[in-house]
Amino acid sequence: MFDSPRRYRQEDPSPPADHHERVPYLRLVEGDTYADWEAAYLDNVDRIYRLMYSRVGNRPDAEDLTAEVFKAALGPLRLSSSKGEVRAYLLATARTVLASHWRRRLGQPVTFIDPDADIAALDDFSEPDDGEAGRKTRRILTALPERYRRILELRFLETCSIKEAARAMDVSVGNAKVLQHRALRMAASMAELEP
Amino acid sequence: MNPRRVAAFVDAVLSDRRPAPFKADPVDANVLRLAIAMRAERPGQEVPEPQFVAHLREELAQQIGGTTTSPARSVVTRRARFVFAAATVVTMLGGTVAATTAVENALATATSSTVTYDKLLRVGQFESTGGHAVGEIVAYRGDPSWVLMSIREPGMNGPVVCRIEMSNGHTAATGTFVVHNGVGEWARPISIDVGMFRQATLVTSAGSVLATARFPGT
Repeated sequence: MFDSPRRYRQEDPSPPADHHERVPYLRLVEGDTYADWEAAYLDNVDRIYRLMYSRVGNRPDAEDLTAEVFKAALGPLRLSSSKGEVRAYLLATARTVLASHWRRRLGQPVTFIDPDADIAALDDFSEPDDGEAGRKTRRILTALPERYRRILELRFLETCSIKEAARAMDVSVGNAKVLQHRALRMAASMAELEP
Repeated sequence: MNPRRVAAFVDAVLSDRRPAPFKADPVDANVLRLAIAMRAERPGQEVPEPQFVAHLREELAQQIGGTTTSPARSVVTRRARFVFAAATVVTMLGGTVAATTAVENALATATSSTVTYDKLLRVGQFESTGGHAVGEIVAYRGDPSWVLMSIREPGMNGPVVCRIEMSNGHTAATGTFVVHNGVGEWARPISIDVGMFRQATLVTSAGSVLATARFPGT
């Protein structure tokens, strides 16, 4: 058996302003380096998986990409590196792996990893936080016309099938599909205009 | 804009399935980006399954320890791929339900032991001359033994020859298939021991090398 990396639950002494409602959270406060690659893996696998899931939106791809990151990164990893350096390295690897994933799958970049922005999320590993992306999504939903907002809420947030969503909105399945498509296009256009 | 492909992609994401690849344009990408962001809003999927974490740790231990040949992809995801591959091969070869069952049983057994797994299955990743991954080749030793390869490379089109070489330098098998819009697959039964496979090469009909896959441990 392997020892899990030790974590301590504590209040963040100076939480960022937008995190004021989510305390306490878990944070590494002891040890600058990992004892071995397994400690590095166990401390970071959830972080990398969560990051990948938020970028691909499905479990099979998130698992594949997480595996790809660790297989590429752990071999050449220097254990004398600090935990922060290990995470930065994993993040840089994840960025490349994700870019390659989209190039293979769609020939277009769809989602990205920003090492500067995402390293903070990786370090501040805690209970799931919707972050700025979540707030932006809700702003867009709120701004959509009623029927467009409703179809997206039913499908994405309330986990309804297209048939269930059609029944809830009292439209045919075909109409529900058209509504969903138009709603997504409008929301995507709005997302492009948001800063 | 490709509404049907985009809709299928969104449906797959909503069902937590792996979406099928297609050639997207920037408008498609914008829609899919939003759909992924909204999907990620749904709680409950953020944590990896313990089984996945354990299997990946086992694979990494083998890779880093160097005690056995390292599989190219995750055990968890490979099994799903192999079952799919087996089903595809059996369908393509006109096999029976019994054959499918036999293959699936072998795979189920294989997942319980990586050593057993490596005796049954070999996986190589095709890398282009530019160094990026363009597909995979899977060789299975069983009854029947078979080989399957899959290409996913946007921009690739036309006939492609796949040549499999053995460790003694002889050619084990060749096959020609056509890549449409960057997607192509080829499969066939094989009577040669897949343990002797060294590498597979994809070449154009004009003879130019497109990609090469090396089997681990050779």
